[in-house]
Amino acid sequence: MANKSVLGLFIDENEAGDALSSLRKAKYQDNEFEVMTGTPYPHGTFGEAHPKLRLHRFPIFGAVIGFTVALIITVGTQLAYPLVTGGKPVLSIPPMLVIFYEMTLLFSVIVTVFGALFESRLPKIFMGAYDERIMTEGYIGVVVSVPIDRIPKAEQILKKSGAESTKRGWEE
Amino acid sequence: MQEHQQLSDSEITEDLTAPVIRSARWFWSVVGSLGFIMLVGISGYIYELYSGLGVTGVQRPVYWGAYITNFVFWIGISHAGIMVSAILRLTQAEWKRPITRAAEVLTLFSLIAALSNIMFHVGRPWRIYWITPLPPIFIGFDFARGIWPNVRSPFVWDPVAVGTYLLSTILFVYTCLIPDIALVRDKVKAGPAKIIYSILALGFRGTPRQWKVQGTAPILLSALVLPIFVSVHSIVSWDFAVSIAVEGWHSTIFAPYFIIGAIHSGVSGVVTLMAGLLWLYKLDKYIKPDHFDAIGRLLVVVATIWFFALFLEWVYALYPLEDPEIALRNMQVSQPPWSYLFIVFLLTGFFIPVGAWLFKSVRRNPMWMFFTTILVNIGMWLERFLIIVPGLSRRTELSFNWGTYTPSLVEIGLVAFTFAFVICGVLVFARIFPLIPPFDIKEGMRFRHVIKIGKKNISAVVRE
Amino acid sequence: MKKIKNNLIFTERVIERSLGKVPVNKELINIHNRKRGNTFNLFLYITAFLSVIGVVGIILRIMNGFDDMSAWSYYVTACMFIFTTFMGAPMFSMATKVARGNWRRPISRMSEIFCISGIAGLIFFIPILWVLPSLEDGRKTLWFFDPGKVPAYSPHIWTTLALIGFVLTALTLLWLNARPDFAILRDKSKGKSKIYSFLAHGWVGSTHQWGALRDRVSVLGIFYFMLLLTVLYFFASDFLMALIPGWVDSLYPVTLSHNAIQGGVAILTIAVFIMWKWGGYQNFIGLDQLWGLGKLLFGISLLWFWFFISSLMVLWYGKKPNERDVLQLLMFGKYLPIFIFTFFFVCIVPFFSLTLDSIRKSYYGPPIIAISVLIGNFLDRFRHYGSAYSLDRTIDDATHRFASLPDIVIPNMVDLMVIFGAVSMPLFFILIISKYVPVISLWENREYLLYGSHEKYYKTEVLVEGKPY
Repeated sequence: MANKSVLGLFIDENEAGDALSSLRKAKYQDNEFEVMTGTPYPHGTFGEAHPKLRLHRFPIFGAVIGFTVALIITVGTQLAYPLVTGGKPVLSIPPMLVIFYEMTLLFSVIVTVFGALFESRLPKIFMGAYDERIMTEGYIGVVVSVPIDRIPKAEQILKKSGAESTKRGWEE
Repeated sequence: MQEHQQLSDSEITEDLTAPVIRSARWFWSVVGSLGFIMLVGISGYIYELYSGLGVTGVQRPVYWGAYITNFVFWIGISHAGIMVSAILRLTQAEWKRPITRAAEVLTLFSLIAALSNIMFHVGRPWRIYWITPLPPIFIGFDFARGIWPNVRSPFVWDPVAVGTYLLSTILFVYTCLIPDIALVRDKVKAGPAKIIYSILALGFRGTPRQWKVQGTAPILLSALVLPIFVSVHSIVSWDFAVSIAVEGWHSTIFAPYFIIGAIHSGVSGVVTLMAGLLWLYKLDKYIKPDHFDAIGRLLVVVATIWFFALFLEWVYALYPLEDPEIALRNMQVSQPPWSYLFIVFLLTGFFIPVGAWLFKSVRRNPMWMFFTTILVNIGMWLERFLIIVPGLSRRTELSFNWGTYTPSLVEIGLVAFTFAFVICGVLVFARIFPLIPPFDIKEGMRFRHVIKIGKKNISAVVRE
Repeated sequence: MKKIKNNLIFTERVIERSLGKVPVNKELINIHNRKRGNTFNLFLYITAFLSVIGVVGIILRIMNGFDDMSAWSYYVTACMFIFTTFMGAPMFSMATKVARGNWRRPISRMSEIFCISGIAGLIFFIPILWVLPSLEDGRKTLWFFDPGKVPAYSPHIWTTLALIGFVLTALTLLWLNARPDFAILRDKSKGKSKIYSFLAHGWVGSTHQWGALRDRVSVLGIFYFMLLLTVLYFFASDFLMALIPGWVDSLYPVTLSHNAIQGGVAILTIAVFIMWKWGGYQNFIGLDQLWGLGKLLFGISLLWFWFFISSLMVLWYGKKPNERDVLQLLMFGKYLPIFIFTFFFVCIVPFFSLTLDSIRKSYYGPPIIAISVLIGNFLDRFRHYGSAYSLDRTIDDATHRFASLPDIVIPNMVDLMVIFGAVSMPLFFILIISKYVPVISLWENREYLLYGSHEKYYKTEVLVEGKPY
């Protein structure tokens, strides 16, 4: 059965937090509901689960790629056409260090950015449950994505917790 | 920060997306004027392409003139943007919030302006791609190149470093911009703009995972970009410092000297930009005198360190007691027009601005900060000019080799082009994306606390 | 959030705070006032003994005369080691006070206590004034165009004056920062109240006194930084570079200052670890402090590489004969093993190990790396000062290059006595002073109660910190 979503919009942070607690008590799993805010709050403000990120691994991975690319380019091109310039050896360490350094950092940055997008689960072509007032006016959105038969109960919990309005309809 | 106004999310959204949603009355006239200056510059460049580099003032032995000065100047300006943004993010300074994106965008356009000067400077710009180590198969089988780039040359290190910095800046700016693109996506009415913003926002919704990445990624990127920032201007300085044949260039302090000079001119550029934004976009609720005060104090420290580096450079230039070096320094200090330029450089680069910044009333006044920081950049442009051109004038024993340099109208036009380009670029960017990050300001509102101790209220903030 | 006129506004949270009935931390006072254990006394006696050995070593070295400069290589190295480690540590307190980071509070006093090492540095420095050769013997001068017209007191008098000013500034800073604590101990301690009363010098904690303290500490902190740079500038130029003909390195004074800050952070890290592990301060020194120092050490080690490559690139690239000689002398010639070990200990080890979160964010990681940095720092001093003071400054007329490059000097018994004395004497002074100056600042620790706390924030708890000025 395809999942459907229901979105509750809250004004008060406490009410949004209470909604999450109520959903947990009603046996909804952590991966079935989510909070959306237009601005970052301190972690755990709504009692949400801490997302585990592995972002720190990406820069090292990128650095290794960058260093390898730099090694291939500098050593490869200089040995392919060895030309002594300025009395320096063909493979001179100080100049090669410069290229290694820059390439290592460049690929670190590139892979980190891709890692950031990956960890954010972006790009998301179909956004799913969302309301523009979350970003523009500061509402707190709590979205529950479950099979259609569990939607009414979720909507009831959201309303009971103090949601200013609820919306249904998205398919996840 | 003791001055504060708690604003609603709608107000913040409205204020900071207003320049994006609709153009201000002055926008098109200002952009049009800047566009005209750019057109004049481009016309000069077309003339230069047609007629050759003889239309510039460069001639033997002064082969590097206004273009290279301008190149180093804009690399310098670009430095402070990312430095201010990165260091303030790493230290979690609260006063960074309205400043970071403007500084990063200034970096972006400054770098492009810097690279454009290289294109203006080279005799055969259609061969500029030869600097890349791409095999002929990627570049239209251009076997005429016949050689790989010389890794031992600083002129190969330069594009690698500046290219790395440019690409890293673009990625940095974009990553941090995603939540605000999402905000603009939600703010604009349906139409082509909404589609474009939706694509660029990548479906950002503001989930805890996405915000956590938004908190972690800029810090990681800042930690990666800071070493790049240090290396770029070091490498640019080595264009000069590794040369043993030109007086005044062969000094080991050039790398830190250029970097601290870049921070000095760049942070001043950021202040100029901040004051401009404050007046143009009426952002007095977001950019406060406290911000100018904090940056002003930073500038005093940076300027003093820069002056110490200048002192070291001069002392060690004279230490070997070499006649050509002494002759060069004599020329810079006592012979017009160099002596006039030297005095103007010292006054505008250090003594007047730093003397003014010692007073709190000056630091807290956007008008004073605007003018003093413009003075700094006049001084720093002259500094680069005085490093490059007098040394190349070659005051050595072989007097037949003495030369001089006067910038031509084409060069002046193209220098003006770069200034117009950067200002225009920032304004156009502000027309498309919010220049002050709304989500950052809203986060500041949520993190803010007040500690009441007796009759005193101390502002406090959540530390994550 | 609250809805006001259809707009959602986040109201700022107000926390009321008062220290009216909050006493000074008794545990801190008790730890400070307790009788020192056997381990402390053992170290006190060992450092005292080695300091005496060091003084004997100084006397023996002086008795051997000043003519043979190479005999003074290790002496000068040891003296410079004091200035580039012990005297760099107080910079941590000055810099973090400007940055207004609260994590520094438990350890800023430890960094200030290192100011007392200046006395040891001054003692060791005095004989070096006689070691400097005359200008006729090949020493260069930075300050005068005509070597024949250089006054006899160049650079001896102004260097000594700068050094005395530096040491006095350091001691004043230590006293000023500790004055409120002396007042607390005057009022809380039995037995030593007369000493504390004298040291507190009438401190009552008036608004005027606190304001004056803040202003004076910030001004003196700036002076300390400027004098550290000045003193190290003289040590780098007149006492080092001028002894190597052909070495023109405008960056080196800055490099030496950076090395001093690196050494200072390293030795502070070890001191913090000792206080955490054995000093009884586990409740006050936490992972935050060692992690912060680890991050600093990481960044500073990266900077070491930058300063090194900035000098190397310029000196190596042009292949000027005199510059090639200097690189042979300092790096690639007979001192190559010293250079390799320096690079390894002071750059490679800190950089690659502190990159790892598990090492950087640990109790043991940063101190172990700090030991590596200190070893590298000593080797770096020796690489420069040892080679400079043992160099034969004769220039070959035909090639205009050094006639010969010196071998690595092997230390003899007197050298070892001096080295042990140079390391032990500052430690001895620090141990003595720690009996009177609280190792953790009582007033700064108490001040934090006003500005930092954990507060409930909806469903979570957050750290809230205020910055009053």
